[in-house]
Amino acid sequence: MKLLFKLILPVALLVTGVAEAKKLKAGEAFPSDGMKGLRIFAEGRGPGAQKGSWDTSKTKGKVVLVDFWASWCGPCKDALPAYDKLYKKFAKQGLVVVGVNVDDELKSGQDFLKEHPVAFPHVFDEGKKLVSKVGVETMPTSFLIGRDGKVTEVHLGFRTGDANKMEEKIARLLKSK
Amino acid sequence: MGKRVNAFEKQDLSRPGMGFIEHPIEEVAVQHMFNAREGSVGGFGGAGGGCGCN
Repeated sequence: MKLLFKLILPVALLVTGVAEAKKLKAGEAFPSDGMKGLRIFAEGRGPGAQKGSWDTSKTKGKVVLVDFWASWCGPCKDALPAYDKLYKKFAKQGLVVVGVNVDDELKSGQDFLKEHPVAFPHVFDEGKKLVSKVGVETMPTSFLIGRDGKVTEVHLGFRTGDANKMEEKIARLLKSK
Repeated sequence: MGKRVNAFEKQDLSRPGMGFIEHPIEEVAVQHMFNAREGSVGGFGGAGGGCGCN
């Protein structure tokens, strides 16, 4: 066993030592243009659900919560209903919540949303272009974006109680002009 | 140089068949012993545990 680790460790260090992609941080502008044209899921939402592709004007000047999720990610299943509650509470005050699905295939996201419907819209990040651009380092990751388009918080993972902290921050952001 | 597998690229790695041990309960027990012996935690399985650490 020890010999095995002696062989594996140098290789693992080499692999993990590769320069990491740039990660989007708080204070930096969220690349909203990267969402332009992404396909909107019709699954899991009501009959009036919007279809087509994402229009970046939906988020301009608004407080936005962007959640990167995948059907195979366990904590994402807990995060989505929690963010749905936040959406339902703050949508009238101007909060936009959008889920970005990063599954390999569109169908995985569609099937997941049929089983776990939520009210807020989701887009499919085909080819994982957007998720690569923002440098998501764990799943799920959500970005809270202020009216100025800048990231105010990068939320890594999801645990019980995280939604309460997020709620306070959203309420504060919505009050700001 | 190899390529780092990002968190969002772990769809295949998160499949149950990708684990070293097929039975989940047995895996928990083995990992518990491994963690205690080696003093290290994590690095097994594909999907994140919600802790934001993998």
